[in-house]
Amino acid sequence: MIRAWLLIALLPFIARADVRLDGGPFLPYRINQAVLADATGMEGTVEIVGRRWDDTRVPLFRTRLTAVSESVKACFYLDEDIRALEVTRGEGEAIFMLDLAAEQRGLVATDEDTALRDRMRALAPPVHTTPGGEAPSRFTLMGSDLGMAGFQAASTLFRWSPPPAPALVLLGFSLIAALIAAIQAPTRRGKLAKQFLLVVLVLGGSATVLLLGRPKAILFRVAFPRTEAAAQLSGVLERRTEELDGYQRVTYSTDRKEEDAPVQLIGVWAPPGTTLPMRDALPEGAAVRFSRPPCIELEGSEYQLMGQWFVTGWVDHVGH
Amino acid sequence: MSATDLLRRLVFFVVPLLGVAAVWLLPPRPVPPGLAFVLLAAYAHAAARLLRTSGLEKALLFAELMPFYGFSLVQLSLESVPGAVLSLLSALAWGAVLLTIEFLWIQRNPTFTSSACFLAASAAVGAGITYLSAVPFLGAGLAVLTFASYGLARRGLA
Repeated sequence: MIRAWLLIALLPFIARADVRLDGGPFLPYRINQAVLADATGMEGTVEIVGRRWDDTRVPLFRTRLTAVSESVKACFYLDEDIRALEVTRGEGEAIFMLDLAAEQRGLVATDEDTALRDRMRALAPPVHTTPGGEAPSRFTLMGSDLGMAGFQAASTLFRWSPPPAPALVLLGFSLIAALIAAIQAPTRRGKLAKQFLLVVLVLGGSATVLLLGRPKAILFRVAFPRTEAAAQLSGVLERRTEELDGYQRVTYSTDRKEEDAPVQLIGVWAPPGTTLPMRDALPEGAAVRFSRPPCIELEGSEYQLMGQWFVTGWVDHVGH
Repeated sequence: MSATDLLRRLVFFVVPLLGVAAVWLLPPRPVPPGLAFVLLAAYAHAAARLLRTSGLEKALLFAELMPFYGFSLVQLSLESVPGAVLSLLSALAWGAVLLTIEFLWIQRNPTFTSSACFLAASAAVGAGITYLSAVPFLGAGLAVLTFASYGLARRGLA
């Protein structure tokens, strides 16, 4: 806590006068849009990092600028755990800090904002702990409320398995390597040939596994038919799986108009190197609450969701 | 080819294959790339002691685990392909350094002290893979490997 206050005290010294983060006020439970401007120009990796109340840091936005640029359009998720924003560049050099708590103290909350905060506070995203496996083809809502139905959905529906190809490659590699290693080579030339074969096999096996083993991004969406948190939900949600450009989308809904569902539970798995367009997971203007803030990465002109962790989140269209 | 040798080598691969199978059962949590390196280096060292191999044969045992390390980099450490290639090359370079220095120190029969030093050095390399910038760390590994190889050549062991 002392470190947190020390950082706030040091804010004027860390922040550079020529760096600005325009577009505020930045509010929780939304995807905030901002323009990050630096009059001296920015290049390389630029990040917006959130500082929580316990002083831990969480990356919220990242982009890699290949040419010197004076401004970047950034967007990032915020929740009430994040008390400050920090802009970094290069290897984490802080160039700007914004104390969100101080900024929000000066704001008068509207009734709409207060209602949205209350509603999102009540929707705690379920923590995902499900091992891999096959997701069921249907999910029956058994009269529980929205929160409980979310927990049940996350623990039974958000399942997937890594691709089997690299494991099969490793199995084949093990058999061939064991065969080669067990060959008796009495001559020096024979030993050299055996060692050469093993080295080629290791290099080939490693390259194949790296190429085939990459996880693919996956987006789960569970569209709930009712909006009231206390309402008893019933019905059967059917699974629909789509292979889209670079990622897989698994949707559970009562019918095919899941985009119209007022409340959705989403699960996002988008490790580095994969792509999952933000606009596909989070409709514009929706309120959202994640189990852990995802990092939004700007690649070209497209915002991608990214993160080393599987995150779950509630997406609420009701307030908008 | 002797059936015993084949069986021994097949048994050697059972443990890493079980590790691969565990990926299907564990929840998705990122594993630091250095931790996987240390586990595989420790396993290669233990297997080399059990199989009574040293020198180049031990280096080959270590190398045979590299595809499994590649798997852990992309599936457990969730590195992008370029990042995984750099980490794999670092692991190969620094693994070769460790094995070369160990071979320069003790050529045949490892002792408890040499094993402990090998594991400690593996842990240091693992920390380097996890926390240091990939390209300078790989460069440093290749530079140290050059000196270590020179040492081997000077002693007529290359």
